Amino acid sequence: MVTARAAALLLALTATSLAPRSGDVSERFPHRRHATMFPTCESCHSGIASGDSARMFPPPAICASCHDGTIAKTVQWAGPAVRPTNLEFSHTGHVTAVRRTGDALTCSRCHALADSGAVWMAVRGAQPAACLDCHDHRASEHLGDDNPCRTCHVPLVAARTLPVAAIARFHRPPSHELANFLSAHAPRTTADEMRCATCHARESCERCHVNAEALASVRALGPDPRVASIEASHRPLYPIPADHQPASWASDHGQAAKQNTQSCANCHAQSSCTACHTGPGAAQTISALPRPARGKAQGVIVRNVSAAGSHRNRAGGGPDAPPASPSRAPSGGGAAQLEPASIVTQDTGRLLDRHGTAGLSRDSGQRLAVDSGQVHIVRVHWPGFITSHSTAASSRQMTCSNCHAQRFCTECHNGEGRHDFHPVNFIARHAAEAYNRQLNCVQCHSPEAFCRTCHLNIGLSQRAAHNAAFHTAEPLWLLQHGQAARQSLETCTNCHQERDCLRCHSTIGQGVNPHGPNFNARKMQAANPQMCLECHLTNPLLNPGR
Amino acid sequence: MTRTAVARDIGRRLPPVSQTGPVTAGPPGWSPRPALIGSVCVLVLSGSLQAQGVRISGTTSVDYVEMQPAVEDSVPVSATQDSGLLRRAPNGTIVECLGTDAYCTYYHSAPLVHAVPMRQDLTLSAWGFGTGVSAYADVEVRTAVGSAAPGWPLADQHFDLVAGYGEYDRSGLRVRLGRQWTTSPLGYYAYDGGSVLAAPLQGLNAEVYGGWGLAQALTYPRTTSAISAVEELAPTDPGYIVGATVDYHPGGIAGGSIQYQREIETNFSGLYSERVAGSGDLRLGRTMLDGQVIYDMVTGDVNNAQLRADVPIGRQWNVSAQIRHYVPFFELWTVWGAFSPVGYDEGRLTASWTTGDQRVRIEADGDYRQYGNTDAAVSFLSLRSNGWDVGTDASWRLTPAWTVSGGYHATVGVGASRSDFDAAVRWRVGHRGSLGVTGTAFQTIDEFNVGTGRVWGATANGSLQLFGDLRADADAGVYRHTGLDMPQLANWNQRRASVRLTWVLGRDPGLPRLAW
Repeated sequence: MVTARAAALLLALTATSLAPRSGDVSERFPHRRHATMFPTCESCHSGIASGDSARMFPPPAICASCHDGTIAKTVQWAGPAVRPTNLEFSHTGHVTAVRRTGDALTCSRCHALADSGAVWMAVRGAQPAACLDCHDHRASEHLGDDNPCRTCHVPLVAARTLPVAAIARFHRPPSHELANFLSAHAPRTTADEMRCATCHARESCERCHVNAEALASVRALGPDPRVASIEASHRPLYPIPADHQPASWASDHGQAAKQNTQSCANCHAQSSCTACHTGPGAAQTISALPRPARGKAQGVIVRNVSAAGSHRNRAGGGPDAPPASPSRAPSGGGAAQLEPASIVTQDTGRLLDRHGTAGLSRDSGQRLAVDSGQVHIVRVHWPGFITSHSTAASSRQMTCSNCHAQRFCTECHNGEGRHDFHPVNFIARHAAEAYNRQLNCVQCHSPEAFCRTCHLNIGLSQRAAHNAAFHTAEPLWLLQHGQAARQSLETCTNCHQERDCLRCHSTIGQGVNPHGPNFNARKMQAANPQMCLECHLTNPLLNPGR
Repeated sequence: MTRTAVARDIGRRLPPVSQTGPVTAGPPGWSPRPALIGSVCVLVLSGSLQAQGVRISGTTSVDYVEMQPAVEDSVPVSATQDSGLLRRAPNGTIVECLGTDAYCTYYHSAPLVHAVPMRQDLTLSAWGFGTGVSAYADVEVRTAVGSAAPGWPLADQHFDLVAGYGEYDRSGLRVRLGRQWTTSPLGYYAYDGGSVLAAPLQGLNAEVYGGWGLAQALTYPRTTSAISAVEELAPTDPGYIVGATVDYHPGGIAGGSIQYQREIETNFSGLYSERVAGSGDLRLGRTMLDGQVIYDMVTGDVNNAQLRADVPIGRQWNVSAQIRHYVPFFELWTVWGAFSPVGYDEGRLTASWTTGDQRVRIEADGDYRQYGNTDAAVSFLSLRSNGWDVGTDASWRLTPAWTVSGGYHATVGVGASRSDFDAAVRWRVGHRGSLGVTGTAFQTIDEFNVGTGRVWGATANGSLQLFGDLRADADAGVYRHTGLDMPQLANWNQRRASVRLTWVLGRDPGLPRLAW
């Protein structure tokens, strides 16, 4: 026999089953189905306002009074498990606070479903927007800028019940999506730091910041192994600040680095600098940067890039690639050609051991490919610098010693012939360039000890020869060589010694006058009288023609 | 025997002396000075045992170079065709026939010879002897073997003290004593002596230096046998060098330097050179202007005057323009300056373009030069008095590991002209090694010595970082000469190879590991 009570319950169940679903997927208890049974929230949640934790949720016995298998099917109800949360919330405190204001505090004020109107028991978990209705926030949205997150949230490191997965799903505030966020995210105030601490632990910053240990705002965050496990799979990102982007930054950054080294230290370890700064200059500034440590952020990796195959002593030249070993020979071997000086910066992972695995994830065998990171080419010297650096070096426009050891310069200027300065097979090619003298060969090669010695030994010039068999293209070379000599005399000296010319161009020889119309004999004699006597028997100014 | 007496003796001995074998410098021209300086360095460096740190770097290199000498040969006048000064031998070779000789002469390639120059460079830095005190030495030991070895430049100068000095460096003052180098628009000069550099103000440096001068591009005195072996009128006095430099760069916008340098015989009887140089630079926004002037105070010549503008356009273009006036400089122990060389005026334009990610880069350049009036040209036999050069280079970084590049250049000028082409591929093997292949082809047409044909070449190169501070580099190439239309000088069928080991030992005073 169906009792009235049972019929009423059955009707209620039917009604609720036909009623529109609450639509709240997070609802773990079908409140709407029980809307007709409980006139007040305190019917089940009597401990909410008083803070009696034993009465915050109905004990299983109350549920079982209906769900006994006869009135309604039995249910398993043991009360909700403690939800992992990073919220710091007290119902009792809220009730007390609101009552103090004289307002009436109803549960529906925070727990009503949106757009449910006054439908009884259409509830859900409180949403942040409900908090914002009361709490005085400057921002209009939950994740807005300047929100005092501490109002509701405990620092992440204190939210010990939150699983890693939940942390990984934290929403990103809109401010984090701004293009300049990476450059402008540093907390400026204690309130800022507290906001950061809501979602971040120290490892969040250590992923990128080379100087994490030195930053107070990073130290203020606590360590958290959950965050560490999340960050281990993320690659650090280093933005390219606006002041790094002009072409002149490679030469202008010195001053900025001296004035604000700690700003550099956010992204750069000493290794960023020492990729170029091999000389003694800038040592003091560099030493103020952190050293890369195993397991820590390495910062921006700067590499000198060299690539075989392109000319260097032409427009695209550049001297800054690591030197191939110097060779005294004029580049006779199949010399590697080096690309113009490029300094490639790359984002990178944590310090890679020799096997290329990250220090923190060696067990997992995870490999972080350095070359898969962003690559930003920085060129220090302009195209053609290798052949046009004289002014920059001599006027100290650039402080060469910042990046170059002295050896780097003497490899070329001591006539040793770096393999990467001249194009391959320059032994065979150099005639045209020697004649044209776009480069002054004397800067690196002694005309006598280097050029003439080789030419003599290989038979391209002869001692004291006076025939012009070498100059076969010009049948009347004897008449033409004057113009050639005046135009390119230094080339003549690469084969001929002085006596070759004195045979004709001296009073000892044939007496052919070699001087041009503007020759100042007096000035030359005043500088070095002995030179005149090599051609003249006596003082030519006293005895012209002799 | 003075140089004058030598010159007169040469004049009396007019008949040519035929070449009697390879030019050698004879016994190494040891001067006590480098040995003394080396000893100072050794004494200082021996204290490295007590030094805070020592760092030694070195490069060991071995090369293999084939060459084909040219030898003079002759044919009887009766065997030649045509008449006049230049005739043809039966095999088509152009020969020169002086009227009174029974034979006509010409050059042709001799059998292939080879040289294997070997070199060991060592650089040693030691610091921490006291506050600001350090020592630096750079030495080179070399030799050569092979059939061409006796004549290989400087092969018999087995030891070279490239630099060796002690240094005291404090804020605003640096003193060096020993063998060192000075850098200026005048060139890169080495000397044995001392220098004092002061920095009294931010951006202002003033340096004075002096000592015994060394031959330019050599670390030997002018009296070295390396010079006297090929120049009978070589100087007999090493000479002193003195100079001063002032440079001022207060910030990143403008700056400049002035240098005065004088080289004089040790008996003060004559100068070797006396020159002043100035250089300056100015940055106008992103444009860089720089210029340089070198003036020879003895001859009154402006050896070099140049003005260059470098203009980046946007982020992808760069244009550079330069004008330059050049007259060669000769030291006064030679007579060359008295022959009134004229030099040339030159204009040069360079443009480069790169993609936004700089993976592709293309450059083009060109220049034109006009020589001065020589007052020596014969109107109906005048040679060309100008020259030009054009070229282009391109590189493409396909991936971080693969790069291809190539270029073409043509040079037409006084004395010789050339057209050449290069192409290369490089593969980075991880971040420790690389392999590359380069192909070349060029043709050189010498104006004063006609020769046609083409030389084709292929070279392979590789680098490998063996350990943190040890790197090996090697390359090898083969060249083939085609289209020989006459048995000319220098048959360029040759092979080349080299192996180099670069290593570093010692502590790291903030300096990096071997750059890669």
